[in-house]
Amino acid sequence: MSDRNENGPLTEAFYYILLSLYPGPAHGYGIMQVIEQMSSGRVHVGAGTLYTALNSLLGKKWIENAPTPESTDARRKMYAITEAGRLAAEAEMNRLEELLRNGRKMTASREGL
Amino acid sequence: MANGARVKKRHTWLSWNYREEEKWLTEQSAAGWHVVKPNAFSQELEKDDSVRYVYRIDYQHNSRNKADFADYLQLYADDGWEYVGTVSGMWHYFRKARKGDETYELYTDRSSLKSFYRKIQGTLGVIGLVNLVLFIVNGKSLVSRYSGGWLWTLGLAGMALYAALIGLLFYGYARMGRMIKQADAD
Repeated sequence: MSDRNENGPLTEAFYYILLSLYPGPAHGYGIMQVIEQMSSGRVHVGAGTLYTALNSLLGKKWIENAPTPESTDARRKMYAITEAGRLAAEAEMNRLEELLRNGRKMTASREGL
Repeated sequence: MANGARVKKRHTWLSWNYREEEKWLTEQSAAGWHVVKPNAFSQELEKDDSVRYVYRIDYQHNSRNKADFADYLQLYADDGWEYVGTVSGMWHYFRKARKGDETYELYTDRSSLKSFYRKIQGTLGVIGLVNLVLFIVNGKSLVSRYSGGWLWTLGLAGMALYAALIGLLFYGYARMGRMIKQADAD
């Protein structure tokens, strides 16, 4: 499967970045922390990976730059999820749900024998 | 040697071997010698036995835009990466004090590692092609103007050196291609 396939699976980093922006705009480090909390410390997105992912999500227009609130250091750019970003995240959730449903069904049918 | 002492050591590296430079700097640091300001050919190291660093080198084309670059450095700093400096404005050196078993990678997934490699490969390819064109144009004018004289011998030696450099760029391009494939196989 190609990386360029728009409807293909999202990387874990892409998926979690999109999810972390649902409550509202955040800066890079905020995103990193939310992802670590969400995954109970399992997923640490490296600085290079996050920076690269943010730039490619901006390129896809799944996220956009948001104004920096006065309480935040102006050096840190803020990011917000777009409508296209929500669609991508929700499409991924449907895909994951299908995987899980089929997984449950097939493993259960073995137990039922 | 006492803390604060400085030495210069020759050490050079090529794009596709950036991991070697990271390793070398980290080893120097393990012996208490830490780089002062990155340089492509030699490194000035300063003694400090109170700390041990892990070095990582990143490649970005973002240093011309001030706001982008400040945001970039801030993000890395937030993740604990101290900026050491740059070589050529595109290779950026970072370090983190080593504590315990933490992982020290800038790139933590395959997709971003591959785009990192592709960025390096793209630059090598473009510089290689531009120089190949220059080489052909200059080669032609050299042949038509100086054929036979002593300048011709000199020019020929220069062109041979130039060809070797271009060869090296394309070799680097191929090496990066192999690293991209390897990342897929891992």
